[in-house]
Amino acid sequence: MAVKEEKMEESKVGSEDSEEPRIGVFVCHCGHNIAGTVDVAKVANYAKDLPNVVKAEHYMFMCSKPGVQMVKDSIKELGVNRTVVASCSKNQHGRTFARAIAEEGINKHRHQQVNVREYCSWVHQKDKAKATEKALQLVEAGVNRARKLEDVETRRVQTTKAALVIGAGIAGLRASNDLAELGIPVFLVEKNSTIGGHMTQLNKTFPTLECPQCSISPLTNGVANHPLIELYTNAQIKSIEGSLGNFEVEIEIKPRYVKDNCTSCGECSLHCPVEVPSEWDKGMSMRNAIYKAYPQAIPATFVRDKKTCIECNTCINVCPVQAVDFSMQPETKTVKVGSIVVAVGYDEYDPTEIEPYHYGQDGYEDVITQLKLERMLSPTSLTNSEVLRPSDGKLPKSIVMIQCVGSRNEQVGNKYCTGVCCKFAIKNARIVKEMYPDTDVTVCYIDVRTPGLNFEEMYQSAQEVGVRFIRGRPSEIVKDPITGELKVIVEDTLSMTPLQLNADMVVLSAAMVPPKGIGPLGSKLKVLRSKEGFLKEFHIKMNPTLSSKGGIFLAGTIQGPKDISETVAHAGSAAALAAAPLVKGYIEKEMLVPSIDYDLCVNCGICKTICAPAAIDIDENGRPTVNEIACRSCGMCMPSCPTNAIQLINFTDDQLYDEIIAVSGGGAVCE
Amino acid sequence: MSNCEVPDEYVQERINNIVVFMCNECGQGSANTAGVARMAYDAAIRIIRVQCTGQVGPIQIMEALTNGADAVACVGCCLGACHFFNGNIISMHRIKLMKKVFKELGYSDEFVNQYTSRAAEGETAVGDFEDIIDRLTTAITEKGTIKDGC
Repeated sequence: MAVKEEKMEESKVGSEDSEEPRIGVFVCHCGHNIAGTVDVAKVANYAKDLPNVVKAEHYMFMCSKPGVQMVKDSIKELGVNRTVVASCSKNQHGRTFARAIAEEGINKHRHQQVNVREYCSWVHQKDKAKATEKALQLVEAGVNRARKLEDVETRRVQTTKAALVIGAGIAGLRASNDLAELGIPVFLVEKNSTIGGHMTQLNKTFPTLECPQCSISPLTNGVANHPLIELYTNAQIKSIEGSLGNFEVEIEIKPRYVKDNCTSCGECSLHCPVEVPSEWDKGMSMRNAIYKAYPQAIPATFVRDKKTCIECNTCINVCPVQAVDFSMQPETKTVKVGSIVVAVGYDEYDPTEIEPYHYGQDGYEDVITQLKLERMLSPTSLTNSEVLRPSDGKLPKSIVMIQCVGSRNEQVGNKYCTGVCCKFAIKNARIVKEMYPDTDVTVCYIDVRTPGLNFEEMYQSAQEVGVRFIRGRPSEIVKDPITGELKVIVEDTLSMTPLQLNADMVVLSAAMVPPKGIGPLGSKLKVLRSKEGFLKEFHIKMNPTLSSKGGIFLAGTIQGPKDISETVAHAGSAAALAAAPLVKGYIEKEMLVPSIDYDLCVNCGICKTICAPAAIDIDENGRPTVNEIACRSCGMCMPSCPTNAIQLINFTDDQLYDEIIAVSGGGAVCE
Repeated sequence: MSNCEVPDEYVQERINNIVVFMCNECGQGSANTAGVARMAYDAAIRIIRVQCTGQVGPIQIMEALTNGADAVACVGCCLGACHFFNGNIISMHRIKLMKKVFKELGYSDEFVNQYTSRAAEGETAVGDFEDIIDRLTTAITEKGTIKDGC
């Protein structure tokens, strides 16, 4: 006890010029969670005798309203100016008490949370004596730490009122539109020459069999003509600097080689001698070297594909308005934005790596993916919406659809269920069966997953029109060497019968996978990715739209597979969250930053070399200075300083020392 | 000491205070996850919250050892997953240097260690704690601890 008395004297001497610390200690029972293992009364009694402690109590549930009121009352009645609550983790209820003391006019950083539940009572349930002894030490450490806690100011940082949206698919369009409607200028960057994304490629959307072009065109038109939205097509992100509220983004815009006065008459395309498979049409039709991806494409300006162009100059000569210009150069534009929404969407899984299905191999042209079937069925298709075999152009007498190609398959590394393949396969199966009642349509599935309103009805209606469902994942697609017919080998696992299904055409329901090129973009954004390769959300339940980095939000399938309705909802949420700091005009940052004692500083600059977010700079006098906005409060600079001149507020060597002596056995006296 | 049998009670008596600096992100997260899952570990473990393991320097480690800690450890995020870019790697280098210093002073370097854990997996934190205890137990039964001057 002699040690303690000395300490008390010391603190009294030290507190003459500043206000004396008055600490309130509250020990929570948490029902039986803590009190069942730790002797809470003993802990509270022990805390009562610690220096500067003016109140020490224990209570059933500190996080309840009476518990929080107890903390508030102690401030009002006893003039407590630092609180220690020994209960659960800081993440769980630390904020509850910090907010409570802030309501009483005390800086919230003067609250010290001691975790005696997760770190003590729950993990030492068998040894109650030792758990109590540990709790005593932990509480003493908390009190020691609380004694020297300082106020941390919360500062307002002005934000740039503009947003960047990457990707102009349905998610990007929705987010751009929502942001612009809130009065925020938007820079919309699209990699391709047209906007609309995958949704424009579809024939019908489930479950209502609506035309996706009709659904999306008001949005594409609205975004393209919105006064607050600046659209960059054929553009990519070059670099991203800055942090939440103030980003600086470099955008690289590739030339279209057609000027904006293009009237979209199509003369150039008509005379172009080059023909290559259309990327937008999934190779189901051809396009020219100067082209427009599809009739309703926005922007309607034609685009020249420099890679395939033979530079015959025909298009320049035939253009009635002289819009074609081969001399256009790529340009780089730098924009300043406050929030970034990433909506780069997905890619359809490429089934070539599943060898037994022979997708993309010679002689297996009739094995296609669902997206290709969508293109075949669509009103603008080369086949006039007829389903025809790609190999010979005949009407298939039997179509087999294979589910879970690339999803629920650990052999290709995708364990997840894409969740929408069942729905679009059923939709397409039903459409095909209704068009050609004589054609056998079979769906080979592992499980049919059709949750949600109207989807089960869609499944049943497909069964009613005569679509056959077989439970089993096909092992192989083989080709009869004599007749050249395809056969799908599958076991019907419900009746335990091995089957060989004749298939004139096989449609693979390929998974949704992260888009190509997400790696470089992710590293420019400096956000984390999930193990499947999608960008990782901050919290799957509570914040599925924020990325791992503040100010960068995820919209749509870049976070994980989604259908269109989910994507639109997700994008709306991302837009609302991205808009919040911009509409408010500022963000609040806690100034938990290091301060430099220039009397001790020897201007060696080691702290600058170790600072990862580059928040420490050397000023013109050779002295290091801290950029308080860029600082991320890691404290890495502290041990690097040879003279201990740089100290992170509330984590100073002095404060940590007090905590360390309490828990390392030197300071605590346990009877 | 290695020839004679050391009773478990003696070992238990000798392990009292192990100071573990855990970072605010994965370190704390994994210990919380372990707590929620009620994964039991030795009661000698005392956790101190720091912002990042990169914040812990020789001063803190020596303070803990001189004030009676049996061992000191830093637990950070997995390598490459530091929430502050590279604090765990910097801490690893520091601990390596600390070990070197201890060796040159003639002490064992088993009492200062750097570990990593994953917030989603409480097992990782408990595994780290068990390793600290294992090293201490071996030291007590065979060579002697840092308190014995070994």
